[in-house]
Amino acid sequence: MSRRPPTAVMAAILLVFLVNSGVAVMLTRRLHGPQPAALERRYVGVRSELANVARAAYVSDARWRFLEARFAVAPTILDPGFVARDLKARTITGFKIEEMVETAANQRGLIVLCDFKSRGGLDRFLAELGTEAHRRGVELRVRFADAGLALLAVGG
Amino acid sequence: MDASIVVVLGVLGAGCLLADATVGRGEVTLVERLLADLAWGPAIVAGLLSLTGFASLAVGLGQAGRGTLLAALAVAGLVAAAKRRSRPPLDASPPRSSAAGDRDALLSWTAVVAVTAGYGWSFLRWLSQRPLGSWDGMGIWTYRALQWFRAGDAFPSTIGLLVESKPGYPLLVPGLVTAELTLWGAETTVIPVATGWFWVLAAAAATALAVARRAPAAVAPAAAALLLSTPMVWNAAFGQGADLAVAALAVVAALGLGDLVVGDRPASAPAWLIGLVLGLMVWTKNEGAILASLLLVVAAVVARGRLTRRPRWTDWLGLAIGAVPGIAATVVLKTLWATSGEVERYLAPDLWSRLADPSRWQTVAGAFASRLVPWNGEALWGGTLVLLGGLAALAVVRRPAGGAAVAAALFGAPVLLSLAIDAGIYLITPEPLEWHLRTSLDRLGLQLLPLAVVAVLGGLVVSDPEPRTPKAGSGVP
Repeated sequence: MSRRPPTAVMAAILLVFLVNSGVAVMLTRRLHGPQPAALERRYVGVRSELANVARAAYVSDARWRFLEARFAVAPTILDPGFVARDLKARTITGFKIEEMVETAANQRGLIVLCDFKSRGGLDRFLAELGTEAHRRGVELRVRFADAGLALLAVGG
Repeated sequence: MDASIVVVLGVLGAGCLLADATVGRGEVTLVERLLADLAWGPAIVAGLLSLTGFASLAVGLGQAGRGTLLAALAVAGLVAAAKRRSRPPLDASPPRSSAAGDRDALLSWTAVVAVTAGYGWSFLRWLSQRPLGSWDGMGIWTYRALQWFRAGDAFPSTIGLLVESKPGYPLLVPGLVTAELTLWGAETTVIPVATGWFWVLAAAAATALAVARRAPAAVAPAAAALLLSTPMVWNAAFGQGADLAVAALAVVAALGLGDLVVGDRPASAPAWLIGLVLGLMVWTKNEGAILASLLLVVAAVVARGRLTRRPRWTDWLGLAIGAVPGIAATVVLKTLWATSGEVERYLAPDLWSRLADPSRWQTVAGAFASRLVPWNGEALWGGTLVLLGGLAALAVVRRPAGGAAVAAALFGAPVLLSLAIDAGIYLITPEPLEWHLRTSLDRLGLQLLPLAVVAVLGGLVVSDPEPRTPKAGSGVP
């Protein structure tokens, strides 16, 4: 066996190594906090699961006070797990959207917690929500929304 | 950063000691033996801890789990210490090479050291800025570990509660993190992040070792440096997902299978251990089951060739026995603890209409091809895929023969077959196709990257005109 690799191969590896390292450093520098706050919710949820209260698990008292202070909306919440699943199964149509808009209209506001795994999913949800609100003549203001953060506040 | 990193380093060290007693009989230099320990050690200890933790729950040991884990480590350590005395001595005279070859090797090892230092910085960066990891890490893998740690005895009854967090996903990575948290005795973000070192080191070491089997000395560290510098690997290392674990286990298993069927040197690992790692691939991710099957089938086919040896029936038996724990745990999880119905969703009645839709073929082909463009998206692949693709194309034109062709087939065929299967799954996926591709294709590619690096740098680009003659009776010690 040749004891030395072809020079061109080694040179190409070295070149790609340098380019790759530069990109990797850039990507790593872009990491910045804080972590999505919704993840705290997930972890809170785990504790409550142990008490077999999964439905209530998404929001602890402390978390709830944070949401109230942050978004200044009424403490009305729809079951997020079921919302998320229904959104997926029903392609974001059906009574859940109507329920959200109705709740937002009747109260000072609404907080919805749900799991969006992509910006596209969130955008589709917001579009459906906006359409339904327009149909009912309800003015909605989305206070906070981001894919992956799984936290959406809708001010009525 | 708290002191819990000591637990991670201790567990990793224990794995390497266990590996040192079990594998590496074919490795004759100190560097080779260290690489073998780093390659096999993380797999051994991750399997030991996650499977004993799972088994202790399954048989109702419950809170005795911590004692079970400690006892498992202690017993394994004693066995390792006893076996280590019987290790063959290291070769004091490493193979001679030319001055130019030495210079290449020095340059390559310098690159490995530099990129490893970069991983140290990346580790600290993730720890301070993203301690909960990537989306999948915090939503699935570390989430499951915390659920397990907090639930204790109740874990089996809570695992299926939140369907969004994929309760049917296998538990090697969460089990390892849970075991480390159990040994530490409290929750910490340090342990999940630091556990990424297991798979970084294992993937790099196994890749270097597999390349070193067939290529000149300088290519092995160059291959490790290329792998580690790839932004996708760098990005995944401390994101607490399970894809890098699959990648590492796959190349470790392929390394062992290669020794078994090529048979021109004492095998690095006994057949049962190779089987264990194949089973652990199943116990890590669903894709791991497919990849493990492909590795095994390809090895069986390659073993029928002129330049290879057919493993003895005891080897096959060893492989099968070794694979049982990982497969059995996965079956128990998926059938008794967390049924998912994922397969039924993919095989829904509209499967054929999805498959016959030409636009889906176009979308899938476009997504695969786009990864070859270095500046695509976040440039997660840098120049790695272009380099590997280019070298592979050139080598194929030259028609590889002998050991090079065997190595390329052993490591490369599973990559190509796996990509074909992945493409087929995308064609029938019930999820929104573009979303599915965008969120998973790079991770699937990551699982295959070390195998591809070995196939190209350890096989196709090697000028090895001399066919290797298998030694009768060699292989498993």
